[in-house]
Amino acid sequence: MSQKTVLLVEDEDNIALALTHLIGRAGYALRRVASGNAALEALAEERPDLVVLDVMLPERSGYEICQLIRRDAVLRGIKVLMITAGGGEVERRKGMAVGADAFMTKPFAAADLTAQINALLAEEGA
Amino acid sequence: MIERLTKRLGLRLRFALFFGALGLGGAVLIAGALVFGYSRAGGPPDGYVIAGLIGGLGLLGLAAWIGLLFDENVAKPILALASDLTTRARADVDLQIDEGQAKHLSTLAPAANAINAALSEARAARQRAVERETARIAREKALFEALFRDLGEGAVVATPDNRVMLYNRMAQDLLGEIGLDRPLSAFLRPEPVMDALSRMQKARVRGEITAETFLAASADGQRFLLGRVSPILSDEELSGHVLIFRDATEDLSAHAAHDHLFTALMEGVRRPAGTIGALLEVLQSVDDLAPEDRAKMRQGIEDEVARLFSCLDDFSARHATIKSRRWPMSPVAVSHVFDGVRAHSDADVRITRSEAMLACDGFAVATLLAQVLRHLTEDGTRDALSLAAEVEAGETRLILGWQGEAVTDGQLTGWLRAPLSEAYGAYSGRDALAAHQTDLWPETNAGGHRIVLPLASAAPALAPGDARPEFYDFNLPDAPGTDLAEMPLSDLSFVVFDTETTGLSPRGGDEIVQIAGLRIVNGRILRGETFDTLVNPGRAIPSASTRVHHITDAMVEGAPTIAEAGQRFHDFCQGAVLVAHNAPFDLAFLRLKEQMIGRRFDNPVLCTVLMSAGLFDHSGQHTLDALCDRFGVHIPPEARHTAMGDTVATAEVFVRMLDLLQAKGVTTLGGAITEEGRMTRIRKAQNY
Repeated sequence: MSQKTVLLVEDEDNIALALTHLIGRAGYALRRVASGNAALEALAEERPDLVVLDVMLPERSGYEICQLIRRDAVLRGIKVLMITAGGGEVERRKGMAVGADAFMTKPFAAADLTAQINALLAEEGA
Repeated sequence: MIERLTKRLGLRLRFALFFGALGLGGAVLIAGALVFGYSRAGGPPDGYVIAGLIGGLGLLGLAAWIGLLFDENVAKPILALASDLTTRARADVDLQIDEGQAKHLSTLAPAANAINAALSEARAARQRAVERETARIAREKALFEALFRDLGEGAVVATPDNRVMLYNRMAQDLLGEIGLDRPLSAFLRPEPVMDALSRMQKARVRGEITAETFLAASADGQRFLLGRVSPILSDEELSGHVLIFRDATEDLSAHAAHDHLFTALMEGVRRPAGTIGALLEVLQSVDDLAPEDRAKMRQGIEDEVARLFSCLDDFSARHATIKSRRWPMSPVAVSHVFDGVRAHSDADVRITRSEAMLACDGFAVATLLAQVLRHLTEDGTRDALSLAAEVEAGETRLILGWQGEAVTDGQLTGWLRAPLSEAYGAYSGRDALAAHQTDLWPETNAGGHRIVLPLASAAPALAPGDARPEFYDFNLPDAPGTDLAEMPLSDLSFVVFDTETTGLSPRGGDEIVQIAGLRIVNGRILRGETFDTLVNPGRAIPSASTRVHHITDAMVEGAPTIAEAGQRFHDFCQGAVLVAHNAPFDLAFLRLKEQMIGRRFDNPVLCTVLMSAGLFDHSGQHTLDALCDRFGVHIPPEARHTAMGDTVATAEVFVRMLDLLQAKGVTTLGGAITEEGRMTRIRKAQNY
């Protein structure tokens, strides 16, 4: 079975560094981009199995990227995990409403994140 | 003597007497003249007698005939004219006087008609002036009522001795069961207000008319009210004061909660942050650390990081709670918001009507939706637009739906960046969403596309058909003195009440299941100041009783106990005379529970059964139904034998009986109670 791929869309370098290590250590192939438009380009180039998507991004919000993924016939089935530093319930509801499969609020424990990623990719492969 | 006699005799009789006297006098003169002629000239007496009889009878007949003509053509028309003029002077009759009835009285009838016309014109002018003034007062009254009713702050006007003579809805919301003519101290802890009043008085002595601020707790200690009190001066005399206040409970507790949260947050973050810093420093600076110690320290860092995260989660949730408590929006109907959207937009939108209420800034939300609608329709790629509301668990979602092209979150974000309205300056749709602590988002499903805007639901506003409560009375009588017995009945406040019970025997274990009360102040039944509560009797309600009052065990399950309900009712009755139909029965139930309630029901009491017995015959019917029939008071059948239905009927009957009592000369409370005492003795003798 081929290695699962994850696209990390995160504009903050420090958290991206940590997430890159965490996701890599969990055994997934990872690509990181730092803006909404770069995410769209990356998605057009290669379809990942999972997108870890920050909400607050330059150019296009994570909500919009998620919407575009769900609207695209090819990309529609990709699992989306949204992450945000905003802790409001309404943000979580909006994220789920635009099509996210899961939503996590920063800060989160590394173990919780990898567990969530594993669960989503297990569903994806099922 | 003569004057009295003429007054007693009617005009026509006087005229008849006048002509009678004329005829008789003439006949006597003729007879005298004939006797005199006979005595001087002599001659046959028969001739004199015959001449005398003919002359005398002729004169009497002539006098009678002229008298009758005079009666018909002068006396009767004069009386008719007088009657017509009197009628028009005393009653508002706008008819011309019939001049034909007084045709022999020359210009008297036209003159009377001229007076009548002038009188009618003067009356009409006065009536027009009264109508103008009444309409002006009604307009001012409506304006005043609307202003006070819907004022966002609580407003109370009190007499100089601190009795309530006006309050608005907000004051009622904030202070609970406030009522006219009741002491302010029953609703508000008086000390801070007294202090503000004293400062206000001192300023007045210095010639300054100022408003003084106060922060006072409500009487039940549940709320803190922040307000101002200012004097009402009439001819330099203090005729009362106005209190304007708002609820500061949330402000104070939110402020305290913020302070507490910040302190706790600092402590919660500092401790793990300090530990992490110390552990990291050791790990980096000590090279020869034993592997097990290094592992322990790493574990320590992980534990502290977990504590830090948990602390942030906890504070984030607590902060959200505080923010949501500070939400000050007023209730707005969804239909009002939708109408606003339609008014702000040319788009053809199908609106699904909704009865739901929102806690929001109605204008901002309507303008925001209209702005989104304008953008949705500007490129002609969308149609079948619709607006609807979905209500669920404290939340109302406004749904803007359409068919056609979808919308991205990016487009929405761009649209919401623009200022909402000139009225709001630079305030954008995004700002409005932030102020409402919400967001909106696009969704797509099989039925088409939609934008969802969740907002907090609000409690429904008062229905327009609600009875207009009596919120003010500027003619409150002076405060009752210490001797209530001497007080005029018209100056007293009354609480008419009724109880429903599990049975008829208070000493045999029967209990109260419902209490209702209604206040009467200044002779007015205050339908806005009612007391109505079910009471949990702590025992089963017999089905026979339920058949009478329709109160079941299930209905009273969550109701307050008699201890709690009794205290609230005691507060409601403060300073009032208690009135009930067959008062001894209802009072027996309350007085037996005085120890449990912790209050004494020692108010003066009037009983409408005994009042009725005193006013009408001693053996007649004095049931509530009989009294209602007698006074034309209608109780809807569904209200009969409900505590409030019977209370309203008793109050209606009572105010009518008060009038009759006063007409009978019983004008004081003492007089009414003495009258009742007399009736009690009679009724006891009759085995009442």
